[in-house]
Amino acid sequence: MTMLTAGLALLMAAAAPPAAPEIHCKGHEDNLATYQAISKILFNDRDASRAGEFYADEFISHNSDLGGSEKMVSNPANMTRMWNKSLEEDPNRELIDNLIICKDDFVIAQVTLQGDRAGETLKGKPEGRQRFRASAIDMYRFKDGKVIERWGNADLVAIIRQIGLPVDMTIKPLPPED
Amino acid sequence: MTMLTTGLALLMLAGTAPEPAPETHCKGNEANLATYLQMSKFLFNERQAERAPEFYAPEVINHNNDGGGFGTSKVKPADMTGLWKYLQMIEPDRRIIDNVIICNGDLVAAQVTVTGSRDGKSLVGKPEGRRRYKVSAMDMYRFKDGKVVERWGNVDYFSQIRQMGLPVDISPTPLPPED
Repeated sequence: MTMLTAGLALLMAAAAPPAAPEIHCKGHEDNLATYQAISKILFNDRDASRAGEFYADEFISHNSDLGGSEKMVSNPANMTRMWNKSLEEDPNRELIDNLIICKDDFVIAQVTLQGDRAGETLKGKPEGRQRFRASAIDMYRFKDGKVIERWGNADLVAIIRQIGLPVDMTIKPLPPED
Repeated sequence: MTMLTTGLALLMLAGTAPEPAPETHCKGNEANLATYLQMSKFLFNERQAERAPEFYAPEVINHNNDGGGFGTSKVKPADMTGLWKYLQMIEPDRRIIDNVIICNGDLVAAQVTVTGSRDGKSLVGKPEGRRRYKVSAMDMYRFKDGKVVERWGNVDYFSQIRQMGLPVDISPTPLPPED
């Protein structure tokens, strides 16, 4: 193989779409389809205006998306704000589904998060953009085709270490008992 | 009820009330659920580290390094034994509470709460006494012939650091290599 064709092969491999996820959702195709629509339209396209199609008017959120495990009641407007902010800060962010399990009203997805942030927003203001890549697991409870409860954990420490986010690392109090 | 008996009742509730049973969705996968519940009891909570080979295959594909970070490695039961012994030493009161357990095919996923404490001497600022934490985590296991052959997991390590003040190094690190 010449250097030119080797280089072309590498470029093509870099542009190749991610492998299809491993799916265990037999009998739960509706919830799987809804989750995959959420994955594409909200998580990747960040079409924040469509949050109301996928989240119930009120749903229980067990993750704050920035660390913390307090339970709170959220709504599609909050998600719209979150996705708009995400698109602004991480325009190249991708969420890749690796493994999806469905059972009853639940969908669980093990995913890879990757993206980058502008150096000027990060500690030390490095030149250019800093990339990150980390794992996460998300869980959703569906009712009538919409999310009514969600949980999730992402490897935020790995993201912080990879890009140097200017996060507040001071000690904070233990969360209250439920 | 007098104040004394009320106080005693409250103490009893605080000290000894069992946790609520987890919500489980494992119909048709009862064997894997039972194995996972045993792991939860013997390994995660009682830290009977020497029993790791009962639950882990001789080689397990590991997608989490238990301290944050991306990548895949192969681990053996002896590695898990070492981990549980280490955790027993530094966090003797660590507990994992199963909240929701989902099973499908050869997979079990658990949404859990992790609580524990560490001696202040091992933490940033060396506070007096022990510093407690309470965070959420999600774990997934693939079983074959009754043993774990693959595992994934994410814990809210960021919150744990902030609650306890772990002396972690958060200076920037290189991006992990592509798998």
